[in-house]
Amino acid sequence: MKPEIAIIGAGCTQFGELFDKSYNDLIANATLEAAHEAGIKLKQIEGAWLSTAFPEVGVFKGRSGLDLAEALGLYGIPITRVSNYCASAGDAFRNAANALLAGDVNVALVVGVEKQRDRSPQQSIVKMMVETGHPFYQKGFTAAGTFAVFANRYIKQFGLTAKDLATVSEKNHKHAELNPKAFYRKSIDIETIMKSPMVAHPLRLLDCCPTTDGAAAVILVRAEDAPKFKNESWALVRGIGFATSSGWDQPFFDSDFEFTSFRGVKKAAEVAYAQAGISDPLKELSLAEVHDCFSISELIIYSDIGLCKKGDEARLLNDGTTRRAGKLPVNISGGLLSCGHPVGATGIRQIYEITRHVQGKAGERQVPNARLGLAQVFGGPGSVSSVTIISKK
Amino acid sequence: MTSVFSAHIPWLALSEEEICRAFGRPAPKRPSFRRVANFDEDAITMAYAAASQIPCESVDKLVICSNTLPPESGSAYLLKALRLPMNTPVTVVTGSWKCGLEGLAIAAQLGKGTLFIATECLSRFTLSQPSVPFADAAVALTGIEISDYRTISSIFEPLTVDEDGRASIFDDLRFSSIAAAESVIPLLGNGPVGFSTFDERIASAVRKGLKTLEDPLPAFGFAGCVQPFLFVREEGLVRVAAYGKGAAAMTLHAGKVQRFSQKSSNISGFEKFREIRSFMKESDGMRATFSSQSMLARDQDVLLGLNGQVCRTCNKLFTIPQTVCSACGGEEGFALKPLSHSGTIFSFTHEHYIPSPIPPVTVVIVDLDGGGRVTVQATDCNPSEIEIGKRVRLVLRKYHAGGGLPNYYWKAVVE
Repeated sequence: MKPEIAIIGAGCTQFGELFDKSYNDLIANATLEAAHEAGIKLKQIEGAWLSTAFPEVGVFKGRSGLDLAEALGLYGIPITRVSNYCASAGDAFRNAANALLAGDVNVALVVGVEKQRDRSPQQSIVKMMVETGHPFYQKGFTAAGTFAVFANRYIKQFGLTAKDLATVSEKNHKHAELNPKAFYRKSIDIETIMKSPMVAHPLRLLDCCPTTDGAAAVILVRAEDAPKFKNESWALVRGIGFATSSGWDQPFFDSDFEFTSFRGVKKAAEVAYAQAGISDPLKELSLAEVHDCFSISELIIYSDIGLCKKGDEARLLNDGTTRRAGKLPVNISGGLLSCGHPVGATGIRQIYEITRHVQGKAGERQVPNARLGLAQVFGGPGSVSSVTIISKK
Repeated sequence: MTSVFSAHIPWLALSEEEICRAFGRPAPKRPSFRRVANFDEDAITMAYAAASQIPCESVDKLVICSNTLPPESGSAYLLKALRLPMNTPVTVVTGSWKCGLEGLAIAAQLGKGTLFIATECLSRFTLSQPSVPFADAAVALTGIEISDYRTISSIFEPLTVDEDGRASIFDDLRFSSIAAAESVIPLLGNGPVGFSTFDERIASAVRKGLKTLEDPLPAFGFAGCVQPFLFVREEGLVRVAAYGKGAAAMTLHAGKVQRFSQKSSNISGFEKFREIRSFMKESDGMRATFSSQSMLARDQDVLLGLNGQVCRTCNKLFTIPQTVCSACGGEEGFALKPLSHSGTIFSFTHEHYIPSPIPPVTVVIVDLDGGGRVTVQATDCNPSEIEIGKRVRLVLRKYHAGGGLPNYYWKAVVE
């Protein structure tokens, strides 16, 4: 399919405990980097999409597109706030792309941002799981627990080991050494990971992504308009897949749910691959940024995005295929495990990352000859997912 | 209706030795324990635990005896959980430590089809009066037959508890309990008698010259109105008496006895017991958790009744409320189907970061016998007991105090 959308500018803040940066500071930082790269003034933006998933967990910012307008003085244009759990960013991106294709806007801004560290981590997502949601369904779970139950099935059914889980974390932390915008930028050895405190059996502290602040932004135009802008090395969007499946509580009450697959991811990947004309992702993709909220998540995603058969994921990890020097580096940025997961921002950070690699501008961590990359996020037990395929111009 | 007797003895045990250690008293001469409710139990959940062990199909009347029914709760939750009709006549008997026997006498008069429950959750009073072995337990009976019932009321009562959780012992009034017991027990005849009391001195005075049944006090503690029933250990005639603003006595014809012995776990110390007792009321997370009366009422058949919903178009079974069938798109609605309370663990985790006085919190995904899957917390177990494939039973427990409501739902105990 002929690519119809171009990314002419991308920006990303430092991800971490940014105590001196407000929600608005994060937005401005990421947006201005993208706008400068695109060579545009903010007033040239005709429509914007704001991805913040949990404003109540952070600082009550991001409940409305108004919060993006206020941060940048973007008054007078339509601004949509998108909230779709951890797939918010991919969904915001998709909606911006559709508005461009409909001719509704000619220059679109997508910003993903979350300010989580104006509170302690225990006062944010954990408190949300304890105090909100259904009075009984999933009560007792932290986010980690909802994936721990997948891990225990993998251990029982496929012989997955604690060391396999720890290796995902070890790989991504090592990758992050080369990513100046990651939060944790040091290698951590397997033994340390396997001895870290238990969070939700079998997931330990270092199997879990940290709680961080961050923002990322992209400026999108229709592909045929890209040459009109200053940036000569734009990236192209080859496919966007978005799927809702399974539900939030429903999977935990569904006898047919096997807890070995993220159905939304599988479906979104199929749609994106069809649009991009990809039939052998392991061979055709140069890199992939996937949703490693917990170590088990990355492994399950390998088979759900068609890199291998179900149950075979640990082999792909252990034989080095998904490492920096391997056939298909996964999470060369360090992933969520190293950058943290400011929920609404992650998907745009991934798109920023892929963009930099296909532009040849990824610095020390550059994947050589990167031409085609996959960015994937999901929310719930893999229930709502976005897969975006981006290519070199 | 055959006579069936069932008891629920809580899993947690607090030893007298720990209490003496905490209060600087000399250790007791022989090992004694109080069985106490877990942080997720109360008089209603224990009532369910006892009654769920006996067949309730032909029950059409309920008598429930307790001095500690939670005021924010009530028998409606029990009726729903036991799958009894909401128009079942309910009689609540309270008012003294002997109200269990008074209630059983009423239940006997109400006749066939009466379910009798005595339930007591006294252990929180230990915080104000550690020297009394306050404990928690519940019993249930159907097919009730009694004889030789005698009761006498007295203004004197040596052990009182008030609404603010203060228990008081009036040492000099022990004589009144002894006198009241001595006036009713001889009428039971010559067989061994189980006399229920919290106090060794009252017990030994009354038991002088009596043949006595083995006293449950050292093993279980004093469970208030339930106590006389803890003398029932096997089928047959059991003569019991209890003091309490006077005294009462009767001969009980006990039929099949179920679920009396129960595995137990010792609480590691008095401080831990204090944490367990105060968790529900005082814990931030537990009060702030969202809950809603209208939501709980709307979904009571699915939540409390443990019913699944079967699509009228395609027969697919769902275990959480549905609107349109997600399998066939059917719009003909759903029929309720009672789910089994037994099942097998499909997956699990142990959560170390969820607030609890006895961490970790275990969550299990359970495949119920005959169909349907639920995800619930596990309780009354050590993490090492949980494995994929193990058999569990669903019991009614309190999840949290969100919205000031008694948020009863199902938890899994390992079989």
